[in-house]
Amino acid sequence: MKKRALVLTGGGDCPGLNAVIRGIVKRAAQTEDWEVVGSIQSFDGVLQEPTEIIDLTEKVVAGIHYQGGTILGTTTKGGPLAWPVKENDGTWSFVDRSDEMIQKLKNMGINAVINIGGDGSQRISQTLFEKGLNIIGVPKTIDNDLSATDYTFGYQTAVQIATEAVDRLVTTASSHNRVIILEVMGRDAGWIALSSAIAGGAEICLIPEIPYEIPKILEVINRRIIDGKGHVIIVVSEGAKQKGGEVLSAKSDEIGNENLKLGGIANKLLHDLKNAGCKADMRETVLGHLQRGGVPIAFDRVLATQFGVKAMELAIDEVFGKMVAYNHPDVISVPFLEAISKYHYINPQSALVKTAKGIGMSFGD
Amino acid sequence: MKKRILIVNSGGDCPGMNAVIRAIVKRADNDANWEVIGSVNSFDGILKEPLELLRLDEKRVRGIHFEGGTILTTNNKRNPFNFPVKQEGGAIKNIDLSDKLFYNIRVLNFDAVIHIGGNESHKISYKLFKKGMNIVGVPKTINNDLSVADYTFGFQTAVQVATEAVDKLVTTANSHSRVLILEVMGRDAGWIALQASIAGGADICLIPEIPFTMNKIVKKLNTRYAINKRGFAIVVVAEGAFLKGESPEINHRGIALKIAERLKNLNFEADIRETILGHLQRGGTPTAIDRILATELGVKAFELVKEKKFGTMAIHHKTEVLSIPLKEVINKYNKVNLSHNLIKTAKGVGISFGD
Repeated sequence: MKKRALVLTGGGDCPGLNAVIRGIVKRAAQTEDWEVVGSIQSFDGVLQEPTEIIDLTEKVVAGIHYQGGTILGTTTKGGPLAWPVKENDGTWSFVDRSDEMIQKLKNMGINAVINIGGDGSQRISQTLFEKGLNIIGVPKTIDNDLSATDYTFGYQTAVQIATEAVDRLVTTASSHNRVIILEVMGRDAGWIALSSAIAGGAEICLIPEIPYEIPKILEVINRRIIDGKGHVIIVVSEGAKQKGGEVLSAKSDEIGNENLKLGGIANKLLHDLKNAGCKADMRETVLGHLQRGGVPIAFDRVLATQFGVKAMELAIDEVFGKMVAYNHPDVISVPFLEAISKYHYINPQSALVKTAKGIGMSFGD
Repeated sequence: MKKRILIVNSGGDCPGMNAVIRAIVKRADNDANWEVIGSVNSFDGILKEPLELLRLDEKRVRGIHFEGGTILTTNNKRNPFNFPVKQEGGAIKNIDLSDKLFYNIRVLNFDAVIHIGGNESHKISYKLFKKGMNIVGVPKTINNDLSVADYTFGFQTAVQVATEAVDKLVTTANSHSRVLILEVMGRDAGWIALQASIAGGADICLIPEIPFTMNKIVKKLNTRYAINKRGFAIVVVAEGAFLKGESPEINHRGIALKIAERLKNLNFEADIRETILGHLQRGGTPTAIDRILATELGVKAFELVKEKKFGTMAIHHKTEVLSIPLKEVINKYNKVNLSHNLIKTAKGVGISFGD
């Protein structure tokens, strides 16, 4: 009988997930003794009765590398450590089903599990690894906020989409002499905002790492818009905050989703500027899930394919408890614990921030 | 009086050159003491009579970062040490105009020159530096063939263009059960072909670093047509790829056609078509990655001038932007190393190199 690898995707989707899945399957197809199956919607496919597991053959994965999303489906909720169960009184409780799941995987003849997911997913991977599961991680974050890897796939596609949004906003802003605020993803790290602000040529960039002050932003607007002529583009991360202020967020109303819902900073900024006396015409655009959709750019497809091939090779070599990572120009593996212990924030002394300041961009600080 | 920088760009164009120019100008504009002038058409602008120089202020460079090409125009045959000059009667003679260049730079009060160019251009930069010029280099190569830099602008745009070409060829090849051969840039280094093959999902990738044989290509193609003779295949070939045992020089341009012809001569049954991507790879809007890399290099180049670190070049190393002596840059090409992870990845997903 062939050895079996089970692949699953967890957390928010991200362009390149399918390219990872294809990389894994095509690498396995080069061997005589491995086959690959996929669990639908993260661990749900294994935990549910009946189970939802699909065969991942070369034919199934043909051509999926240029589709966004994930053919396996994904979820940000639940998982084997906190499976939501509805009580008789209508409230929800969460049970740990990890031991049961590990036994189930054993019964299914699974020799290795490859978990493609963000830091939350890799925390689950670590716990399952400690309980004896042969598990390998592939990092996935659109925010580029993992320090263990130089880059994560999906991020550059998001930057490209945000940059094209800036390109479009520039022409309409300059025609109408407006201030246009573009809200992009970035909960704790402002990589997408900073990169698209540089690539698109925004005047102001607001990121979580550098708290802003309204008077400083107003100063830039007043310098750029004189007698009603001129325009300003502001790119703001959803997680940006005013000096001394709080991040705008709401607790998610989805069962089992522990993440806070961010958003609304563009609208708040617009009102704060108006209240502070900004005379210019202002508009806002919230890019939202457009940043997660569509065809991954070549860079992300190459990176995702490298991750997929490497993850399958770790399975073949029986190296478990590790996550693949990019360390230019090599793909390496790092222990889960190391991978999830450090976030990757923007260093205000980095070349990217220096570049932004060098071309006159303001961070509102 | 303000200090003056002269920008010269040389060699083939590459998406992101305008973003470098804009960044230099915007960085200089942040400093009260500096102004920037551009030489039109490489060293032509500063050497020809009458001079053709362009004042580059913030207004002039506004919005140019998302245009491909270069607002200064460029040329790869304007070496000041061997400069083509039209003689009476119309014949072209190459003469050393470097002294004239130094003279013009002195009388026009230029404090420094920023030279944006490829490997050949920076051999010139280094010669000018040794002769006493205050010069700083910015690397420009669409082929990613500069070994000292981790990333260079223009390359990712070319990879993106080539990848989108593969995407399009896949659907038509599949519909007609054809072999489609895509020829991309890469004279000595196969980076564009390799990355576009992985990103687009080609079946065969031929690069200058790995000489190929027709037998191996046919063998791989046959696996793609094993069932009912129905199937399709995509071959991505770098322009500098060559057959094992043949000389690389003879293949420049037209390697796709040559492979198609040989496959026909070997009585390969499937329909074969060729696409030569050519200068599409140099045109259009640079991707976000390249605009960022280019902007970082432009800002760094200005700062090197300001710090009087002449005879150096701005380069990317990991996530930082550093400077490196021009002397260490020249004559070092970045070829695809056969133990590179991208080769392992390509082989891992079953791509054949025809070897």
